[in-house]
Amino acid sequence: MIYDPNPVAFWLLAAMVAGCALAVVRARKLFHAGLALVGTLFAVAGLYGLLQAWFLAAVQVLVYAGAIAIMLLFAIMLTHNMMNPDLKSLTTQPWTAAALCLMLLAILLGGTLSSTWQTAPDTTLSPTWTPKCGFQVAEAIPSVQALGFRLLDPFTLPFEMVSVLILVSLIGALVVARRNPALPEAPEGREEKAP
Amino acid sequence: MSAIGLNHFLALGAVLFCLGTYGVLTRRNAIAVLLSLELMFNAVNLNLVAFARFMPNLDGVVLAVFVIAVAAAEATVGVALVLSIYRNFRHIDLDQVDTMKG
Amino acid sequence: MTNALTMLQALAPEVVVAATAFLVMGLDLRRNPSPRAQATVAIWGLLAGALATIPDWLDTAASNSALTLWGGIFLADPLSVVFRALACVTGALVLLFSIDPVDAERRNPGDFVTLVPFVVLGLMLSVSTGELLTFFVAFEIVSLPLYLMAAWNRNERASAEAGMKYFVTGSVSSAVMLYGISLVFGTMGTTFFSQIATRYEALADPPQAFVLGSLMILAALGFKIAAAPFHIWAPDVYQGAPRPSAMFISTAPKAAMVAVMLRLFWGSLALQGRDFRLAETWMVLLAVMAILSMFWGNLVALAQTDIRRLMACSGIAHIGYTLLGVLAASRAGAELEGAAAAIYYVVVYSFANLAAWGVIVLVGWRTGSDRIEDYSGLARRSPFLAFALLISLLSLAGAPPLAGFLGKFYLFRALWEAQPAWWWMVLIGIVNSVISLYYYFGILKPVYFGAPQDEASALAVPWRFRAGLMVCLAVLMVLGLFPELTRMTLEAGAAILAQQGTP
Repeated sequence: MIYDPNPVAFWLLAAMVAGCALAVVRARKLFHAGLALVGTLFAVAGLYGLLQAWFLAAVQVLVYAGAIAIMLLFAIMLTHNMMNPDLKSLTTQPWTAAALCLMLLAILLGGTLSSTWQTAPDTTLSPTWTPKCGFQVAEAIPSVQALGFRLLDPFTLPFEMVSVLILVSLIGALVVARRNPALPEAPEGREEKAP
Repeated sequence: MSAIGLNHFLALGAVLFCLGTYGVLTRRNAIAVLLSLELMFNAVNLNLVAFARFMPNLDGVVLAVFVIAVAAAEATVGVALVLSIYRNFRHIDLDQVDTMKG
Repeated sequence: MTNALTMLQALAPEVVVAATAFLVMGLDLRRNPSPRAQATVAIWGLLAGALATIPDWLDTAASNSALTLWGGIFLADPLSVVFRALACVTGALVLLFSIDPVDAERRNPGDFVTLVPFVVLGLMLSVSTGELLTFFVAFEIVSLPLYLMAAWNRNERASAEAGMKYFVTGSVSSAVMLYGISLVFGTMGTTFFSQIATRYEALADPPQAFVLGSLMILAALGFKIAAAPFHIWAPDVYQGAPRPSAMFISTAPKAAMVAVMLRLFWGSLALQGRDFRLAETWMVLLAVMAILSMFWGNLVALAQTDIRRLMACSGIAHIGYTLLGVLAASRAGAELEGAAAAIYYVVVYSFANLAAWGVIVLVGWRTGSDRIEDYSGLARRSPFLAFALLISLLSLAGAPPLAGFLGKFYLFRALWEAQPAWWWMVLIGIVNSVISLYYYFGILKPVYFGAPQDEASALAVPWRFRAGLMVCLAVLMVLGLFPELTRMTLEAGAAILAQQGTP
């Protein structure tokens, strides 16, 4: 069984991912960068579809593009005057950073592209744990059902931990983001100028 | 056009990760840094799902689900901190948020 | 053999701590919440959690094997028992030292008290997991509340700034770690440590991407423990964060990360694989990180006038010493002594650091200052606080009758025995200890010989501080005055680690 993704779809989506990501890090206006992020997230969801991870594509659109990106857009609107055009200096030291990132890219590509990957389910390993539900670890196409069993069978503990993680970040975020009625607030009009 | 293999997806993931790193290094606006961080997390997910499909091993998708959940929590915390910075400094330019010197 | 009962026994400390955390959260929702009562409940709950590790300890020591749940997602072995108990005690001490100032200054004490047991839960899970993703999620439970605790003083610029800096560096390191995890998963087809080890053993030549991935994980861990060259965030965060949060940030995650480094790079790969080509790469990197951390931390500490920045620099230096132990542990034939020395060192560091921070929190709360010159004449204002500072700083410096001295001694000895050719690293460690004496005495001199700035004001020490400091000092002095006890602990630790099979 050979999996062969459609090259046209791949290159289109890849171009969209790279283009939108470039816009996220280079756009002159912060709001445009936020919208470009939504575009990147949708394109990545498309790639998940191409990789036949349908459930993850849906999660990506719902949670990432739907919730996380919108929350970031809200944060932009809360902290910025949309009419304020003064965002020319959104980016600093582009050339040093670009050189560093190209180096990182070379390392990552060099390290990954020449490697041998685990491209077949490993039969030499004697698994120390066989899921009780009888599902094989390697499914040709990851079905939602198999995914659900996998989440609940060996990955029970991290699954529970994620709920704790979200709870603690909510408690803490509420404290830090809320105004403190007990203490005086910094005056509204105070504008800090660069030294 | 040759057939698309695992390496194509991995290269795209590496490019996305480096773009995210570039954004974190160069952006001076706190929210722009958050946006770039999301790019880095997406690069990881792209890698994981590609491995999951080509191996094939469902665990990659399971890992990606967890990464999305963690990224959501991380974004919440990031936005809360941005609001806190904004209330104290009335702007969110990180290169001016540097008052401590040793 | 996993039935419900063994599962419950293995997870008992986590269950106790989680129940405590939810109970404390529930107490915060009452109409008239009392943060001090919540803190009392949380402290007793955390101590109960520490006691609940005893059955795991007895069990693993008796059967010479780790209790394994879900194929390695949860491990109860001696390493995890030590660090789970340490996390609980650390959390209880942090609560003892922080509840008075946080409550008095009305800085959301209820939420602060609620978050501490959750962070401890994250620490416990991160030291007792044998799977990369679970470790990552557990460590996020530690990191995210700590980012927010650094920004806890909402109306202070420095605090908001500290929170943001900590968040950005921490999140980048999380992303780097995840990328490393994805590469390890791609080359090994699994994220379970034990299976990675098996798989690694079977390979003739580790794939490049695997080396790259593990190096990325190592770098991310370096960020989390503030080892040079990944340490830049630490001084600003410690200085800007509220003192109780800085105390927590400087203690708890470091100890847990050292445990995880031992588990990852010694437990499952270097030792199991018996293939030291990869281990050589790590050893070079670990050595570089250790030496840079020691020199940077100690030399920069000399120039500090703010005691919190000084403690940040000293913390970086101490991570350097601890990495020497991890380095010795990755050398064949010396794993056990190295690991035992590193564990002992980081436990002693935790208590000494907590005691020093306890004094800093109290003095900072009472006087509002962290400048070292404002510690002048502390001995006359409060002899007890001055004594606590004396013992903890001398222990950090490694002065002879205290636990810190034995810690350094065993560490250097383990390194020497691991590889006599590394004598120059031992020498660097000793030279650095001497440098550190200079700035620790720089604090102690004004404390004992300086004149108090306003003669009349005696510093009252609340009972919570007194109790917490007494515990820390007792640990430092008892371990130091009875070297036999220390040696026995180390030997027992090494023996138990040795008996253990595949993690």
